[in-house]
Amino acid sequence: MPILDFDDWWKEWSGDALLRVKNRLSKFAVLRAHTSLYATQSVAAASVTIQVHFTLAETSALHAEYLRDEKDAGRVLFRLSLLEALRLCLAAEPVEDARRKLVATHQSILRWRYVDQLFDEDVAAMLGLRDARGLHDATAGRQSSIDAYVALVDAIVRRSPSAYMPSESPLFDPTTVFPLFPSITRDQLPRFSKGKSS
Amino acid sequence: MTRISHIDFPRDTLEAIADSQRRTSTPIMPANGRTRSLSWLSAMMTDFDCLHQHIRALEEFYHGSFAYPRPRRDAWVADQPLQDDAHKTFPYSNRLSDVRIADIADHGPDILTDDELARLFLNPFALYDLFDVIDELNPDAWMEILHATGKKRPAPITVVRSKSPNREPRSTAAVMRLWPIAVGLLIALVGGGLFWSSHTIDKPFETLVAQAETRTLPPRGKLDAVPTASIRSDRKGFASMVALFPNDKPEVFPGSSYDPIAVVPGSPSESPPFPPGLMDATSILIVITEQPAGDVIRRSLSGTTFTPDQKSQLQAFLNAKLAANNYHWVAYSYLELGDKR
Repeated sequence: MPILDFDDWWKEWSGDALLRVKNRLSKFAVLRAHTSLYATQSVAAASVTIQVHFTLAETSALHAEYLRDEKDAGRVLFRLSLLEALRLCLAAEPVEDARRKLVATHQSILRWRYVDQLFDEDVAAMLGLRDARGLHDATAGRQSSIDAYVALVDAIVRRSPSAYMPSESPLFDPTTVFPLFPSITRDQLPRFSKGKSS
Repeated sequence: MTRISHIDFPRDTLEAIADSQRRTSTPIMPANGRTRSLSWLSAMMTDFDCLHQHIRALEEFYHGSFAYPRPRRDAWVADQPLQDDAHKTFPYSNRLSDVRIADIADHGPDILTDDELARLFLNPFALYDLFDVIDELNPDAWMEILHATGKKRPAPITVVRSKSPNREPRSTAAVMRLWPIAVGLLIALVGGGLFWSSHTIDKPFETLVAQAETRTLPPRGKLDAVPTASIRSDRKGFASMVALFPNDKPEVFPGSSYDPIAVVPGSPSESPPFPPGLMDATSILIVITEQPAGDVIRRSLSGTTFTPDQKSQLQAFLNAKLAANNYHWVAYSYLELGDKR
């Protein structure tokens, strides 16, 4: 089976990614005014990565396999676009206002996690967090990131309290106020671990 | 399986359903309304803009405002109270049952009966809940519909790639020899892509004309009558409003925390009621762009002092700012307030 033609595939599937990113962002009230712009920009940015695969597919069997199925490639474009959209979300005006109220360390961590999309260990390195062996403490890096995220969500909720469930309510879920940063799942937030579920 | 043959808002069908509900307390799907309604439901469930347009129409019909509920994933339980007076504003406010939601997600919209469909059209809570579930689950039955909707969208950017004549995979040895070329291409693509993402068009910036007029919402309860704007545009987009004052700096409306005003060709879009701060404005410039531009306009006008008699300078200023921010066109209209307020 021949690999996909990029131009045909892009024409067929980029609209899907655009819609799905827009729909996903629309569920966050603080982002709703920006969803079309962010979706367009994020799909455009993701096109760069997906083009690399198409280029490599012409020379590599591994990448050719990656692009055999147009739907799969469409799903990858959507996921890549969502990651790109996360880079933009901190800039939404209500989020920016809330972020500015945080302590400087939290502001920096949020930039690293959303804009730069650094990992736990990277954050530990940036903050100089070391474990007992003197290595970068990824666990502490993750905890610092979660603390910064929770502080941001609190600041967003305080900005418009009537728009959200009180954060002390057992039904409150911060991941519905603002999207989580990459490489962490909702289950890894302290209040949702150990089987506390929706 | 439902196909989206058109995605025009079937306002007349919705009005007929709402009218039957008002008269008989039972919403009735008009004759020949099912096909259009299924198409529109498909559009709403795969495109938030369509859902939002429908909900804005329900707000207008029932003189109420709708606050989007928390998504279902927000530890939602059946007895969680809805917003305060939802049941007083809209005829229906219960979400569909979990079993029915699962059926619709798995089998698509065609399994809805006419009665269910008519009732669903008048229930913004159930519509948003269904949208939420479909967005979370991405069920196959709906992804086909989403694909049909997505294909109607223009590609977000035009991407130009040079093709190599031999498109079949090569041997590992050949690949190793080609690595320097691949790395060079990578660098070129990343650089080129960054350029494309910030320069999405080459066409000149277009300035168009829109239409707008003031309307007055009748008094409700203790609330006085409030002015709004009715906006028409030949292009789909989003409206921002710049209020101009004789002795004060311009103000941009709606605020950044509010939904943008979606505008579609063929039917007027209503702005939210003017906030009290706009009551001293003598002119309002309506600015329609392909993407929401409230933040860009607000930032651009920060520190400026455009007054109502500097309209042409203001338009030239905004044209430059919007073009610099990768907007491709703008449509303007003015509202002269004066006695109409």
